[in-house]
Amino acid sequence: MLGFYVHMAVKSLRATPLISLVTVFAIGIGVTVSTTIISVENILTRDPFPAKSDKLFNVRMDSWDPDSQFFDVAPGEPPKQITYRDMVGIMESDIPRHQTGVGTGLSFVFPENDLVRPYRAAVQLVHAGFFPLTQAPFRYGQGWNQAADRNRDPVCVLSQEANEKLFGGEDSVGRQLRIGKRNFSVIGVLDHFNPTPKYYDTINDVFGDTCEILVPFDFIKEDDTGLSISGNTDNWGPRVPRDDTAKFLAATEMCWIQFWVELDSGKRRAYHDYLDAYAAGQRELGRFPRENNNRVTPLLNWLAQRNDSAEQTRAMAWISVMFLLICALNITGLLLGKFLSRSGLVGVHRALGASKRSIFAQHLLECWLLGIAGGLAGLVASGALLRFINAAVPSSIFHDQVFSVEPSMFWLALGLSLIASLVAGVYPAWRACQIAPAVQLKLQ
Amino acid sequence: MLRMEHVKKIYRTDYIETYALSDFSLYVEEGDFLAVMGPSGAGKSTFLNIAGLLDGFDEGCYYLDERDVTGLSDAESAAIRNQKIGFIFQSFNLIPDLSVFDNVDVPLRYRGFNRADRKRRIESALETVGLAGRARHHPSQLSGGQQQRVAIARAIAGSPRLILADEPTGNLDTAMARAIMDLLEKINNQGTTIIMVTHDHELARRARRQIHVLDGRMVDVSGGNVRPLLKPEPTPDAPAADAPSDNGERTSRSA
Ligand SMILES: Nc1ncnc2c1ncn2[C@@H]1O[C@H](COP(=O)(O)OP(=O)(O)O)[C@@H](O)[C@H]1O
Ligand SMILES: [Mg+2]
Repeated sequence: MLGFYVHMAVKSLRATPLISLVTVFAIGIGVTVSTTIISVENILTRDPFPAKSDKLFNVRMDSWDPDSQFFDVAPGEPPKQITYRDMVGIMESDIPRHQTGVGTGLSFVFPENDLVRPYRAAVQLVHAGFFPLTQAPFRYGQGWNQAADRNRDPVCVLSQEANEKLFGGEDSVGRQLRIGKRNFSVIGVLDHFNPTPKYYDTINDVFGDTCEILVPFDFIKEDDTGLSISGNTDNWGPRVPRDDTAKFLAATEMCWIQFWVELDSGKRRAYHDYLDAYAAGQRELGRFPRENNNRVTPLLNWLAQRNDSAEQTRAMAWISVMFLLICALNITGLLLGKFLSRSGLVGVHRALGASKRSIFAQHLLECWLLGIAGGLAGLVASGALLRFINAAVPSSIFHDQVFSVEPSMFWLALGLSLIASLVAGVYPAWRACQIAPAVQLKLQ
Repeated sequence: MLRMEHVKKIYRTDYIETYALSDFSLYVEEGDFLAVMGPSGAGKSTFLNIAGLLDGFDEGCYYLDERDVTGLSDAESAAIRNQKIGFIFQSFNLIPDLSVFDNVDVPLRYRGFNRADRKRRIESALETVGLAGRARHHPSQLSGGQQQRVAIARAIAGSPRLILADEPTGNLDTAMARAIMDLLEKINNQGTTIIMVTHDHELARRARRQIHVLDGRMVDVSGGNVRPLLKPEPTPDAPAADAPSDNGERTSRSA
């Protein structure tokens, strides 16, 4: 029976080629716009670290001012970063498998090679746990260990790009690099490592590149490195002089560090309790004036909270689907006109034994065929459009993302076009099946 | 085969009520060939539409094959149309997108026959109407007479018990009309009951029985042998004393 319906629907579509074409075109445009935007959205919101995203947690603690709500977060949320003091405090915990602070310092880098002039660079301040936690791939050497963190060993890890620039891409392990007035020896060189979004630092340039140089976190306290706290910082509480960074960090309530832990499954509750206990202890010392409001947020949730551009594209994706539906509604009139103008044929089919339900199904099927054609056309056009975006839009706008139609988009396009043709066709098909056969046959 | 009693059909538009059928009664036996005559607007098509379950009615009752067919669901009446009734229309009403073969196929598809069965029936029906060679043609490539023969093939392909034809020769010239009538006689002789509306007295005389419709009522019955329009089983609201004539014609009580 389906074959028969398809046969008749195809004949009917060919009988009115213009209407068929316009319908395919309208649904096609709608599908093109939606799949393109949804493709972009998918890429901007994709899981940057599928292997571990369920084990990595962002940690926040509410040490904020009792008299003001922290800004740039949803109401009731704690500050988006933590203080140096609290980072040091909670790193005492042995619950996390790995843990690291992520901070940004700014200093001058003096290359060994005279041909490269000294330059100002952002230096990533991390702990030994950063490397196993992110599974950052190494080309040469390796990361440092926790002893190096404790002893403040002057070691650094270079990004592939920095190693290219500073050492011509050679195996530079053991070579020296001066940051401020301190010499660091290269202990490892990363392979290309550029997770997008840059999940471990969503606050400072979420779609940016990995910092060129990574050093043990506590070098921020050594003023001869010239490192100054950089990036997004939020402060309250008594003013603390900044001339001695170590003293400043020991006293300030400035929030500027993103803190990450890798927890084995089932440990989240225990770790949260640990944080609450820690906060309670601090409260006794006169800090943490608010109620306990600590967060251990899974990676993907954290990204969803922080990723504004993803939110915007998601909104645009919804708008584009609305656009598709409006395209579809505009076709309704066209299809209605066609179906009613062929109502004599409905009468004949009814006389030959078609029930209302069958007439409804036949007409809806006709719409669906148009929808599928529109969906496929839209998919092809969307692929072309994304290729065009890749070529024509300055890469900075989309943070060097390469867009393409992913296989899942096929099903999306098909689903969207079926929904669109349903929206366009249900009313006309319903009207068609309500046509009284007797009246129509007499008018012939 | 078919029995209608006191059927009333009213068309209501915004302000006007048209009595398309007022107190229409008729009995048709299996194998009969009935010619229905009457002026335009008398209610002939209305009667055929009701007989073919294409339209409902306001009062009265209708039995088809001893079965009360009032108040059937849409799907049930569609199935009865499909299995028991073949329709032939004045304007042929072939489906222009489909070939002759596919046109004849349509009711068989709705019936759910398998492919071999359908092919056999289609070929046999086209054979009967003398168009076996035109199966791949499209309706627009055929003359009016040929189109009507395709329509007849489509009507008989499912072996219906009853054929309803509304002025089947109205759009044809005399020669073609006679050929169509020959065909209908042949079909009737094979046992299929036929009810045919026509304005052509010559053709009407070739039917077994003629009835006349005027203002939604039966007014005169002629034919080879006199048959009662109603089966002689009086219904409570139609006492025999009310009947003014022995042929079962009824006049309205208010007249
Ligand atoms: N769908 C309709 N709406 C309103 N009036 C109708 C409709 N169909 C038929 N009629 C009226 O009912 C009467 C009978 O019509 P019809 O059965 O077509 O007559 P015939 O076929 O004998 O010419 C006519 O007065 C006609 O105008
Ligand atoms: Mg008529």
